[in-house]
Amino acid sequence: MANPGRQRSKFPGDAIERERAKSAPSSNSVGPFDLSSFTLEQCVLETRYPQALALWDSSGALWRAVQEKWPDVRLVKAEPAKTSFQEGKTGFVVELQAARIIVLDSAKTTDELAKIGRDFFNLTALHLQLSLYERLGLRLIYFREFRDREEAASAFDSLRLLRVPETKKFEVGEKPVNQQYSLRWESEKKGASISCRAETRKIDYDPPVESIQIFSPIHKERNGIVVDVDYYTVAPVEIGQVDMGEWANHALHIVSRDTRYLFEA
Amino acid sequence: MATSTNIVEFPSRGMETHPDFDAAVESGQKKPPETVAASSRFDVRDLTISEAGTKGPLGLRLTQAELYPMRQAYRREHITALRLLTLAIGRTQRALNAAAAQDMVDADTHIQKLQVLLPELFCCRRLGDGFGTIINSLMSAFEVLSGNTPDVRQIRAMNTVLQVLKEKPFLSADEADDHVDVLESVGLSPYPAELVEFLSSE
Repeated sequence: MANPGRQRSKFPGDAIERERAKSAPSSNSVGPFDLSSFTLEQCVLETRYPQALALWDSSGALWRAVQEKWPDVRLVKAEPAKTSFQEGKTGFVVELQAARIIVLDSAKTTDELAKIGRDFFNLTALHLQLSLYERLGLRLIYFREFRDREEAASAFDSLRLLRVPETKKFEVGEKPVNQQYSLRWESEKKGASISCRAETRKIDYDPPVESIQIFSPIHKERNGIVVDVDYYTVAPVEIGQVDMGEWANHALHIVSRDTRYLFEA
Repeated sequence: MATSTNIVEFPSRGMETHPDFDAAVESGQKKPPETVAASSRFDVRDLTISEAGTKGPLGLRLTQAELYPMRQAYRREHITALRLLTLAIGRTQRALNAAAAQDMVDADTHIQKLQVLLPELFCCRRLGDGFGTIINSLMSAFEVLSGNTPDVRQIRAMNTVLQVLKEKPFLSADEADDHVDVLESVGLSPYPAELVEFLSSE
């Protein structure tokens, strides 16, 4: 989804391990690459609205309606101002001023995402008696893994997004690592921000002593490049103007079309 | 409110049986102290103090074209509805112009052209219950008119309702009822003749 040339196909990185093997080349040289070589890690579709006090009256009815649509949905947390459920790798959250769907499943197609978005946000608008959205947002986070921090930094440099000093700086001889590049465009009506960064992720997990025979300790480091795109509206929109499934489709097209510039020589 | 669309932070504390969707951290929030990852989630809010993306200028609204700018991303019924509604609004406008020029024959021609668009518009009712309600009301109004030309007030009301529908094709059935009332207020009968007959026979 949202990968250039793969609009209707499944997310590229369902088999994340396969992707890792593919994207961890053996040499330090980094060839040209583009967004299609990334795995979509996370897709968030969000609406924000003025305080929906009906949440305190209608939360149960809303989630019962959600449960009728997705019978396998299960409660994650319920608090007065925030309730969240999940079904597999899809999360549903409703707050006093925002509702969102979080998809961590890169195997979902754009059509599936559109349908989930349309159904879920229609239900929230109905039960929370919304008449206005203050903000619609689609945020996509892509990740591509590299062998180590230096290789990720070198790949980032190959994009030529930043002008990096050639000489030694701050008494450190090594080249910069974990670079970041970020831009935001914003008009009175719409906006978008993009962030591209080389990232190091460490996981250090030691299971509690009572479960050490079941779980093994995990000490792992992953290095790669993250492309984080947030496309959103600034001006308010009336509920009757919006079909979130349709809006998500348009936003995905725009993101995949306009993110390519990052990889242009 | 956060400047960015909320996400789930990269799970850096180790194995989790399921992703913690509830932990969707607003970009810019400090990570919990036990986090050991060097995951560097760049926070744009550090650079921009403005509440980006929230609280747009009052009175400013996004149009359909601004909300849905990609032609190839449209659902078929959505783009068909917008095309037909544009035609329908044009025809009511021309009918109004003709009526203003006392040319009721020309006005009637344009109204007849509007009427033939309605069945095709009704095929787009998957857009929402409100959409179906309004188109159905217009079809019923024409049925009850029995071929007579609506007067200027009625054409103007049709024009207004069609413009609302073009800007808000996903409106709810409740909101659509308000616009059906507009049609009723100018003497159009937005209910099917059979329904009126059935109700009056009680």
